Amino acid sequence: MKKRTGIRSKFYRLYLVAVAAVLIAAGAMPVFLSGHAAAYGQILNRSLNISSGVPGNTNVTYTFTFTLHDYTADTPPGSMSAVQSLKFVACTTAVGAYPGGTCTAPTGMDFTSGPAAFGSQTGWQGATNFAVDAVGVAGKCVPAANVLCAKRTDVTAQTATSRTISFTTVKNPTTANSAFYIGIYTFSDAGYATNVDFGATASAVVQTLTTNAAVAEVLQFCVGSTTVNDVDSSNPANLIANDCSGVSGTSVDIGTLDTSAINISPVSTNGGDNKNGVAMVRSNAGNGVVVAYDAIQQSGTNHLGTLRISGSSCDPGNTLTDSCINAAGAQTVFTPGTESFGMTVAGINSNGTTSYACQYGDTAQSLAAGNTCHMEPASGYVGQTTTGLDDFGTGNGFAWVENGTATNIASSAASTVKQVDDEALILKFAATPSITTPFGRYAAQTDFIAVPTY
Amino acid sequence: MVVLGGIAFAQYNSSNYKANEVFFGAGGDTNQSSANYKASASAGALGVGQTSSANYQAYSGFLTPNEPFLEMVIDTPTVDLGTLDTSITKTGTASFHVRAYIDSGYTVQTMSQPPSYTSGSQSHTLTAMSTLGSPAVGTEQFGINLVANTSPAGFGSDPSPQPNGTFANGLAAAGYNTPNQFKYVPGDTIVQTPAGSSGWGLTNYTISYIADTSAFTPAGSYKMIHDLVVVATF
Repeated sequence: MKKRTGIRSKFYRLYLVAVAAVLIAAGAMPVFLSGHAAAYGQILNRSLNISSGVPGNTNVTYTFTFTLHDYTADTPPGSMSAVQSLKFVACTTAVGAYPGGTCTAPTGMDFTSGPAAFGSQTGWQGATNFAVDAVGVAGKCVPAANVLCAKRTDVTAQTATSRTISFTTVKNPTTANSAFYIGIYTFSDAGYATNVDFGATASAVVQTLTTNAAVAEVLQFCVGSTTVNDVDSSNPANLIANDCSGVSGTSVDIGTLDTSAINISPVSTNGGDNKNGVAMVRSNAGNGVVVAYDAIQQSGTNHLGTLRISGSSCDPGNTLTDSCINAAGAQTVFTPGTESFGMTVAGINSNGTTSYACQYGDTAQSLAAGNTCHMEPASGYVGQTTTGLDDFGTGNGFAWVENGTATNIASSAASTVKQVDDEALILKFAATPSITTPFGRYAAQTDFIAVPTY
Repeated sequence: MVVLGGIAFAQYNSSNYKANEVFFGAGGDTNQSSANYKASASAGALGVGQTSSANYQAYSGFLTPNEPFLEMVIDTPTVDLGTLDTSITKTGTASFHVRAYIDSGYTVQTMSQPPSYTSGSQSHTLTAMSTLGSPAVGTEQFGINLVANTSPAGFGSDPSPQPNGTFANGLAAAGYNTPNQFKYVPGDTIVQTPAGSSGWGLTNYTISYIADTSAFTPAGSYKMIHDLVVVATF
């Protein structure tokens, strides 16, 4: 046998010692590892579903889904135990969440700020729900920003079946595009002492993805005249126009006035042009659109905004002998021969409306009273009956503000949906003279204004 | 023979040593890097990859995950569909990626409501396409998918496993995987890994957005904080 001497001999002895150490370590390894493995069962099919992945979001619900280790399938078979307490530990790495791991808490994550509360549970054996344990047990489970403790008193043995448990009002980690890992520990007692199973789950909070879009403001508003004198949208003949491009006309002629009658547009006799006024509006204003009018002040003296002979001198008060027909002011029912001029919204014509279907009431046409259109005549300009029982007509009389003040006559602001698609207000003008009203050519001029609020 | 029961970590450690991504033999490097790239590599390995049956699945070869890992990153923080128009469908794309080394797959869910705006006391949310369909010009709607489209324009991309399908397996989920067809239901799963397979490797995803508006969609600036949630099962 070859003899080793000197330095070679020392290295050889060191080599043998090293080999022996490795063999000893290798022999001991199964003991260490099997002991560790025997301490906990592996939780399977485990996942964490968070209700929001936005960093720093509060009021987030964390739902854990998992299946306990099946000890009855082990060799030799074991038995399933109760689960009376749970510990959830959140870390920046999976290994950190493992038993004995060095855990770094995810920045900003907080179980305590809400604080987290029990949400729901399914699939558990035993009727008692878990509850968040705000106190915990020193050295076992101490609630912290990244540690959630929950417990119940229920000794029912569990099965190796899927189950869920959720906690609300959790605050997400604040670091965008970062994953975090939560270790789930189950204990058979309510004091976090006897650890049964363990498993780690993962989730992530991501940088905010913002999706932007814009919808441009739309307003189409036009005023004209029309021979249509109905609101029955089922009758195609009542189509005033598909949109404002089809609305025309600049005047409405209610013919020669007669003390024995009230001339109400459309007037087809004695010089009338058989037309109503119309104001059509389309708007995508989310807060609605208002239609108003103001009487243009003509030349002359006094009562410049009423039905009058332009340039004439009228009396300061409401007399029956000047060249100005008395304005109605607030809505009133006219009496033939008692000088008056006014206007009302007889109804809403929706034959040009395509984005939705609506109908203004017309009991004379067997259409139920009411208004499903988005525009609604303003108080004082509802032609017949009242708001909610809208009926095409002029039974409520007429109104006219002659001083040029803008006065609302219709709006969609009260509608549930405030956008308007080509709804047309049918405007009826009316006048009656007194026996002393001077003869001549009378006219009133009006501005109409639409004010959408986006 | 050592038989380990219960938890068995693929990473080896004790109080005296720790070894990540243990590699025996020539041809492997778990951390190749330079200033411009970083990679894990192996060479000469037979049977690298995943194998499974009804009762098990396993990874073989030199590249195996050493611990559960999950990453989801939004690569495009903002997508602007511009000013919506009643005569044309507006489109946009945004991308994100998921990287995972896990056991039983992952899903990505979309949690947000469609874009909305608020003005004063009024608010409006664009109508979500609750069923799969083609864009309809002039009809208010909002939808997404995660595949390449040719209509109403050429936009979007199919999920892209990196560097190819051998190394990653993310897919667009049903309802969001049909070209030129769109849908949006908050809470829906939009990405998934194949049933019975693992979530594995890096997959890039592109969300294709479409929006149409009607004549009376309220005017305003619409915004959606697109809340995406990845759910991994281990």
